[in-house]
Amino acid sequence: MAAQVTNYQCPNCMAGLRFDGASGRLVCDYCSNSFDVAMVEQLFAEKEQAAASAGVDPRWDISMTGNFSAEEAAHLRGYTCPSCGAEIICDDTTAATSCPYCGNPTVVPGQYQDQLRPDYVIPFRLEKTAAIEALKKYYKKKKFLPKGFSEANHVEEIKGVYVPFWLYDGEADAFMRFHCTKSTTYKSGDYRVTDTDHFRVTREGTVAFEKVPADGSSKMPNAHMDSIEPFNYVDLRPFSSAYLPGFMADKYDEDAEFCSPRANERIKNSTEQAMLGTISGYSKVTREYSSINLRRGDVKYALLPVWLLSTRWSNQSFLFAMNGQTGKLIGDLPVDKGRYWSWFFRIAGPLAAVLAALLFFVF
Amino acid sequence: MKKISSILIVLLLFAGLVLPVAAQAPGSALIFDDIGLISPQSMTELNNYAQELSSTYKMDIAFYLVENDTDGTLYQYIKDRYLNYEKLSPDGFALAHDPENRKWAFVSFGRAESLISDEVEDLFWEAYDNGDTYYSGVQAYLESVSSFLAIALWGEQTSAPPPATTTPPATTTPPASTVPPDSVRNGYVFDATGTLSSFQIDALNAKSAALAEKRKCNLYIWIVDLVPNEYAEYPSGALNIDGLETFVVNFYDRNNLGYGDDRNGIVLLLEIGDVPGRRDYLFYTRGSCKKIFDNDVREKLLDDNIVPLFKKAFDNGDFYAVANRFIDEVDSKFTSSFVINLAGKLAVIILVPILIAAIICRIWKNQMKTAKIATTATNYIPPGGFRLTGQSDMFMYRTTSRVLIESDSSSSSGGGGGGSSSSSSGSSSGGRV
Repeated sequence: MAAQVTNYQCPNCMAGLRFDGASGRLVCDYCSNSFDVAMVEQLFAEKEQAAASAGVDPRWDISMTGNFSAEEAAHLRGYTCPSCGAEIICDDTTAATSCPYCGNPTVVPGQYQDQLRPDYVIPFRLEKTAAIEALKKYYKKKKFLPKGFSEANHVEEIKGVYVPFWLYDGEADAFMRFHCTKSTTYKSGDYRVTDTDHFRVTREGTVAFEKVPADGSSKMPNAHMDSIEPFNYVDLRPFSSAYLPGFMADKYDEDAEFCSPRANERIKNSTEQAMLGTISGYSKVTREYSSINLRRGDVKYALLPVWLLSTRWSNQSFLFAMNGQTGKLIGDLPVDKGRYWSWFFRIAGPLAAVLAALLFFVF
Repeated sequence: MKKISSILIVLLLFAGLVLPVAAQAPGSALIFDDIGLISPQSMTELNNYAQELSSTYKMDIAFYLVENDTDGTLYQYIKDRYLNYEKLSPDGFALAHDPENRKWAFVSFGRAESLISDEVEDLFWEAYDNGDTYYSGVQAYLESVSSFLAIALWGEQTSAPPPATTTPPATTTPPASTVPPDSVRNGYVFDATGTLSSFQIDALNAKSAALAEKRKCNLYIWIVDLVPNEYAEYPSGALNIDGLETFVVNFYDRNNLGYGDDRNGIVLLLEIGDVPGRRDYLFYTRGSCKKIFDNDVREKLLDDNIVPLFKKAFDNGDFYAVANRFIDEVDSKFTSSFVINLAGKLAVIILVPILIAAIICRIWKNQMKTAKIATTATNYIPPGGFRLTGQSDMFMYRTTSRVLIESDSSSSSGGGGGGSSSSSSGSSSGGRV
């Protein structure tokens, strides 16, 4: 008769366990621990279940609203940047004079190509003047900013762009196991004794996520868009081309499936953090096993408001982005090496003098 | 007339009963054996030794072996004898033993009274009491007295000041408060054994004075015959570094030695008595000198430079070389320590500002780059979106580790080797050859 043989492993050292008839327990010959049979079976079952479920990887439900209607499309104009390849759309009252991504002053008007109609839009809340002020303020705080950088790039050329985003809904089912320890140290005679209690800690739970964003534009650096988060979804409106006049809108060129790994990774990390946050009272927590199963839900297409300024300095491109809803502004700035070293010595010099005075004349 | 005769007879009888049978003539004898337990020849030797000591230290050092049959205490009896019968010096002391009644007493007068504490009295008695015979007991008492007074009164005997050239010029003399009290007045080198010539003492004093001025640390060299056993040895006979240090510290403190407010100082104690296997040495440090001359430095300096010369000196008698080498080595160590200290300070002055400036500039530089990839989606967990469906915290086993606690307060070792000792006031290393 065929029999299924299961080799249980020691929860402590992962060595093989054997059944000890005398004690009726499973014994590890390697680390000398013994375990209740039922407990080890439960452990094994959990592990098997987690391993089995970890293989499930359903796709995101990408059922969009549909394409622009003929009436909406009639009022849209398409532009292409010959420099970076960006495809921009505007309503027929707005003229694109330069590329918002690379700053190329020559954009080519083209035939509007039919495309997916966004589900949502967050309208611009902040005006262009607020963006200009924020950018000027951003420059002022930077000690290593090259002299004249802010004057050379024309902040008034900042442009309002609706950036295409995919918003992912979903749930993550998680099972995690940790090896935790509590240590107590005390003095006994001439010895310092440390007792360490070892625990097997498991956590199981579900975390729901709503509208995790990932931008769908290859021209837009992901780090820039991640950094101006979060958007306040209270202002999320069903899309209407009525929000477009005066602004440009980028056409997505990375679809929802292509962008989903970024959202998956963020969801997975946050789920693990949430589970870890429920463990307390231990001096050391070591993750032994983690199984995160994503139950993917809807994906929506949204246009989110971003003020953009692209400029060049010393043959390098610099892109600044401001959340058009919250005003959060980010962007990498050039570092003036002269100013860097100047500040370095302005800090180190007086410090050295003070230290010398202290060491030679006081102590 | 009859009445006067009766009084004279009574007085004579009283004198015959109470006063010593074998009393020596007042002013010449210091050792008194009323019972006749010590031979006349030994008495002569002991008296000579006591008189020599008394002459050296300008106080009478007496001993009484008596049988006190009076109603008064032994203490009162000896006090009367010392002052009124023998009429010994008002500066002096005496140890008395009544073997019949198993009592002993110690009396001290004048200068000796302020010099000798109860503990020292006990030491003198124990030195005597440990003797195998009455003669050897008295001799041990006198030796113990000699060792104690050699240290306690050091300076009063070394009247020769350092050569004029070693005295700091008036213009460079430090303020009165920082002048070591004994630097110019008494010198730094004390030889209780007479081993060093006056020329050698002057030369060593000159070097020590120069070192004190340059290093702000007084260096003392004490050469003695024998440190009392109570200090130098454990009951087992093993070397007692702590005891030796106590011996040095007592004298150091009593005479307010050292340089400046911190009383910085170094002492090299050399015991050169004619007792092979009982020749101890001790390197004691006080004040800021402790930082430079820590245990390792002291022991290395002793082992590499001083102990070999010390051993050799018992053959060639050149203890001057030991003292001279010690001063040179200490000075050399001060120099190397200064160089290391200077290099350390320069390293701090250069590296710390560079490190701080680099950290600050790094922070500012990071502020120039604010675009970063997001790794979490915590902002998108709706209220109530996290549900914990299962949890367990199961105890598995306990492990225990034991680590021996290293003692960093003090350490000492005895026997034929050496050791170190530390206290709140100073640190010392020593040994025996």
